[in-house]
Amino acid sequence: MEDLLKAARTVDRNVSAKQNHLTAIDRTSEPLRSISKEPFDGSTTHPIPSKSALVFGRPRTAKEVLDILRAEPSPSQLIASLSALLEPASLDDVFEASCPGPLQAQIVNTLLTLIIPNCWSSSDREIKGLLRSSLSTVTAISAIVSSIQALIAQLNTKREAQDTGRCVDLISVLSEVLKPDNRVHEIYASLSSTSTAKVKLDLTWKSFANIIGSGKVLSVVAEAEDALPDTTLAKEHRWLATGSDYAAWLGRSIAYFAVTEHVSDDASTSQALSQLLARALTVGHALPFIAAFHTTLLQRLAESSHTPVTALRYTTQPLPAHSKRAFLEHTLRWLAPLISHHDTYHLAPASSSQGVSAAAYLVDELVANDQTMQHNLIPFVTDPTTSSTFPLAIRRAVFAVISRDEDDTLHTIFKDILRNFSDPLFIMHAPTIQQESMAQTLLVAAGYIHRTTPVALLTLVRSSGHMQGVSSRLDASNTRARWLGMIIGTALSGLVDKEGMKMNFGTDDMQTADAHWYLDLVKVDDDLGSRESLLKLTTQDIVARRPRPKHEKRTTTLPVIDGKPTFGPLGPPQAPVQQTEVEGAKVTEILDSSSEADDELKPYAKPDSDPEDSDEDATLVDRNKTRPPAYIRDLMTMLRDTENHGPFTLGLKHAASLTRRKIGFGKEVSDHAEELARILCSLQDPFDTDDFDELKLQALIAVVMSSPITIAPWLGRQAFVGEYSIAQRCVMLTALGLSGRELAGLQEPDGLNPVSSKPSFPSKQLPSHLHDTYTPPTRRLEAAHLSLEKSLIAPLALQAADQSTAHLNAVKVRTFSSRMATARTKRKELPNGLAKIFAQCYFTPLVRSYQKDVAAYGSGSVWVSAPFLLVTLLKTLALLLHASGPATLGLREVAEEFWQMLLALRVQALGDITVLEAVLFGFLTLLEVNTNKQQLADEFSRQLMETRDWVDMVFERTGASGLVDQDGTGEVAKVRTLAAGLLVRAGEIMEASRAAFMGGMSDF
Amino acid sequence: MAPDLPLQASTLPPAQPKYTLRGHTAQVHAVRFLRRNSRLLTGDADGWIILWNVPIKRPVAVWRAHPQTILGVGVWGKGDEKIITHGRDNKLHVWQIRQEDETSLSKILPIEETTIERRAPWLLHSLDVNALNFCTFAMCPVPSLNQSTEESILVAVPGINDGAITITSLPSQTRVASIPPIAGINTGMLMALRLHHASTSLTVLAGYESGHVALFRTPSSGQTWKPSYVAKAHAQPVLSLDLALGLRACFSSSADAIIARHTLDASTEPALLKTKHAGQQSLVVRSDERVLATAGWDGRVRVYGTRGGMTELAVLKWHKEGCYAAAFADVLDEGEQLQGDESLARQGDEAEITTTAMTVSQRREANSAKTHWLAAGSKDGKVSLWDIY
Repeated sequence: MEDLLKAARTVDRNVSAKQNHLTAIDRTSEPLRSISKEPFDGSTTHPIPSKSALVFGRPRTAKEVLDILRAEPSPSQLIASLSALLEPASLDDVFEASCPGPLQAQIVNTLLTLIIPNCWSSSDREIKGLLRSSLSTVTAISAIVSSIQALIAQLNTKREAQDTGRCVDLISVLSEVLKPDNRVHEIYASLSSTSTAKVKLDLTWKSFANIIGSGKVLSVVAEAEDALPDTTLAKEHRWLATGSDYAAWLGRSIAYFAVTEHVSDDASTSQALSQLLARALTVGHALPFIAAFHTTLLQRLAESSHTPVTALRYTTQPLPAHSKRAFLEHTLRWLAPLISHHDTYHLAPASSSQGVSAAAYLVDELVANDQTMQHNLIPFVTDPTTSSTFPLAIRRAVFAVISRDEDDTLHTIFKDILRNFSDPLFIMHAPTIQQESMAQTLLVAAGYIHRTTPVALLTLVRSSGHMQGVSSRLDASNTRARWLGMIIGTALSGLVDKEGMKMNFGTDDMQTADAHWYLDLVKVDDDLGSRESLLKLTTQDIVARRPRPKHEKRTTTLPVIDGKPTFGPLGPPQAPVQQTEVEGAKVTEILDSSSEADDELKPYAKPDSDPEDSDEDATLVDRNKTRPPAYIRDLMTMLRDTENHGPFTLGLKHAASLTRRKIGFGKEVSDHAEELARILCSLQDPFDTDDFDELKLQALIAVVMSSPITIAPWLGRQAFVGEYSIAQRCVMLTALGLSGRELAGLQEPDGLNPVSSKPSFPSKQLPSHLHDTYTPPTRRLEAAHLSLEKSLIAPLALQAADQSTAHLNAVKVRTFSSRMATARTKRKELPNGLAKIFAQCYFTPLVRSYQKDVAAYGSGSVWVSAPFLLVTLLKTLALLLHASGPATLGLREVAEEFWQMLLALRVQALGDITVLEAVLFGFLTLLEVNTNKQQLADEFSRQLMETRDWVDMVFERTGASGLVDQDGTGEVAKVRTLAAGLLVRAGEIMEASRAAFMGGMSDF
Repeated sequence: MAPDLPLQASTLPPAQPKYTLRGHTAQVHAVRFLRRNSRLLTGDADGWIILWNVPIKRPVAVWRAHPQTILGVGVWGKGDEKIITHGRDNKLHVWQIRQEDETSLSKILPIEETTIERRAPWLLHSLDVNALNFCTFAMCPVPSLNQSTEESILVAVPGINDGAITITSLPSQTRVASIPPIAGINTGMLMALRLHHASTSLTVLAGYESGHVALFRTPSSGQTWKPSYVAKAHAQPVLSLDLALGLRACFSSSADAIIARHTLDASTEPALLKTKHAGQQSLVVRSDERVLATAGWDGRVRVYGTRGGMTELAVLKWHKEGCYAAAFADVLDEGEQLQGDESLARQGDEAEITTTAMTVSQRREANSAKTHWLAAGSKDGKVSLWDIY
């Protein structure tokens, strides 16, 4: 046999047909066991193909491949068999790796259970590449996912190193198989090139779309990552378990698919593609998905002559109607932050802007020639709730598209909006933000109609609906609603009426910048942009969102101490060492100065700096001493340095005091305030810094204090955007609350000196990791809240005591409540800086963003699902309102809006006692701050009655539950006290109103 | 004022580095001059070794001797043809680089490219060092009786037990001695070693983690090795040791701020110098034994006089980060220099007619060899060259 094989070798070398295969074989040192299909010319014997052929290099049928794979193949055999699988032409029988079948399933199973655990982690690039290619099939991917799933169950019961390794291998295989953006398309292409029946093909693709698109991969890998011990999974494979990364990959893959296939214009492919897209829209990370999809599509097509129109239409045409709507909505949501960076519309000129046109171009492409899409587009401007969640720029873009239509869609829309806008119920109950957005939309629409058919607008404006609307608006008690009515009336009349006949209210509030901005909206005329402008827009976005250097996990390499690597587990990062005594022999200083010194050597002068050690003990010498930051720029660098413990901690420690010191010192702080605030908002603690939350909070307060007029609104909006954690949002709110109090002159004595806060006795604290988890970051806010609550309730309680002892009035020197009054007069009044800016800088941004968030995400909003956050928001608002006090500028509007917000929360409050407490507290603050009781009763009679009824109900209910303990502590008791206080307050107000009604007759 | 004047005159201006060699990407842990100061050997924390041509300040050979940190380097043989490297991978390699081998070796510095494989020079010996610590090897030539045979050396490395020393002879690779840990004292790990072979007896100097410095001499046959001198001069681990035979003394430095001078003869108390600069490593005494230098973790190389009270003569500040290694060029005595000059002159005569360029480069070589270089390697991967005394 050996002779035979030798002969085979010599012959084989001459046959060039199998060259590539031979190189694979020749690399190994083992005897060549290849057999060729060509006859051996010149050899004396003919090898008979037999069972033993299995061990020979090149398998001839798929069955043989399977047998080889099962028999623990050597690397060369593996290469040979896998490449045979990938080149179906080289096999004798008909075998198609990509379409599902029993043989394929067996091969995949063998690969996963035998080959991957044995070979994957140790393989070289070639084998990995072959494995990747042979596993790039629908069957294989679903098999991998289910194997991971099976392993998770095993890992959860008992964690074994072997299972861990297998799981990690499988995940890395999956990651490497899926990673290229073109893989999904490849899989489809190979699947459709097979000769399988259409039905079978469709079924296979559907199951694939299910696995990939429905987020199954995501959830399974994420679960596996959870079950695996930390850091076993390499970083480059973690994208499979990270929702946003996965969604982005999906977006890129689908875009690639669309780009490659849309030229063919094949209906079934388009069907398959949109099947996947419809699935992908439900993954749950719509924004990264859509962003990746559009960006990839645009960039891939940037060079080619094809417009994205065809590719987009090709992809979206066969989508079901609801998916189309979702697609459209997500696209608009993606565009929104791109074209309006801030929601401060005052800054944006009403004139045509590039961003709007670019967005309009994309929207136009989406809806062009698609009836469903066009229908879906309309609610984005007509529906008050949806429309208010988009910035005006998006609505302008939508109008730019709609106005291009020939038919009278625009008129219908205008009528719809006008009807809504004039509806008395809407005027009375809709949140201000919705009313504003409706007014803006209406004005833009009116502008478009006026430009094309001025007569049509005239009829619309002359209609009874509009007249009725303006007059019901003028009747409204809400000043903003009234004002909006005036704006609409003036603007529309300015368009249709002749000179001299124009509506003019002539009031001061029609002359503000705000009013002019609104009136200018009728002049808005956006055109459809071009592909270039859109491309520019998206690339700008990429530049703007360039990933900041993220804090990487501390590397697991051994730390280097004094230049030499150490062994053992990682120590804590430079924990402060206790002062230790230098032990050892007594050191005797040298002293033989008698012995001859080398006089010839003339000493060199000392260099410019040669500091002596800071400490006698060598272990305490800190050589990389960092200095406290002297400039805001230094501070930001230090805070960004998440690699080094020293600078980070030092920076954080000095952040608050430095910022405060620099306030009013040149423009250093004000120039960087927003950037600094951004850093602080997203600051994480990589070093377990002591008092991290407190320091961060103090720093943030200092930044807000540096320029409250710009930073407070910014922070108020920031608390609602982005991907911040609940704790981070709470810190932002707390910073707002406390800075507002400080502005109002209500700061605590240690407000400027954060270090002085003494930690409580260790035995009263939870272990540090639990402590952090259970101590809310709003501790300070909570303290302020408690003291305020006490101060609100205490006089009421005293008064009650006073009244219950009315029969003793004769002997009382002073009534209880008057004692309180005298105590209050003693406080020195500080100038209240908050009152002036509260409404504009604190209240409005917070409430608007809240309403917008709730409107956009409904019950999915974190502000609804996390009561803790809502409670913090309410308490912040109430505290700020109280701090701002009766002198608040625009108190009436603030009170009205806050009241409306609180009333809207009634249902939610009954479900959660913390929310209930916060809502009650908010009501109490409202009543407290509005000192003019009679006016309150006049203007807010409806709200007052509603509140009273509801609080009455709450009071009854809490009393009935029997949860109130005897000593009056606990949540329920607190709620009951608050409710009682509220009832008393409301009673007082009504009493005052009745007294006024009676005139001076009853002198009580 | 009046007192300022003599003071000013008595000091030189602050020293500045003459050259800096940038080639390493990791901390430089070892530097060594060889071949009559014409070459400089440097090794870094990633295991790279660079052989520099000192007169022209260019690399002549670059290879990765160990996959891990280089702990120390040494040279051996006639014309310093053999290079010894000791790495954290528990290996000690002896490489052969003759003058003619240099041309075939890579000159691409790690700072330019670390991924490509470079050809390593011929490996002559490889010893296993079975100890997990930082202590580099020590070596000394054994004066051979007949000149014709290859010169043999002794290499001391830490043994398996903490504090034990193993001495091996090369090229025979036979173990000559193993010194047990010092009985009765918990010395901790071995940190620094020095060897000296006098005509008959071997002197071993060892520094320990506990701050002890011990001196061993070859015991009479049949007896175990016992220290003839033990002193705890430091509160922190000893980092380096060097011998000054002419002064009958040795010096030790440690992680604390003390430099100690021990006398080799009498067991007197060591003389200590409190420098107030903790962490001085790689203490070396220049071959003329007039000055010694330490590489400081505060980024400054300090030069002290060896005679008298170890006065601080120079503070060399250039590196921004801590220094780990220092080396003096050999001070070639007059005879040697003369010999060098003569050979140069002879060569010059021969090449006189050929080109002037040769003469220039040779003169440069001669000048460079005569310069009293001090090389310092730092954590930032740079090596600075100073011309001191």
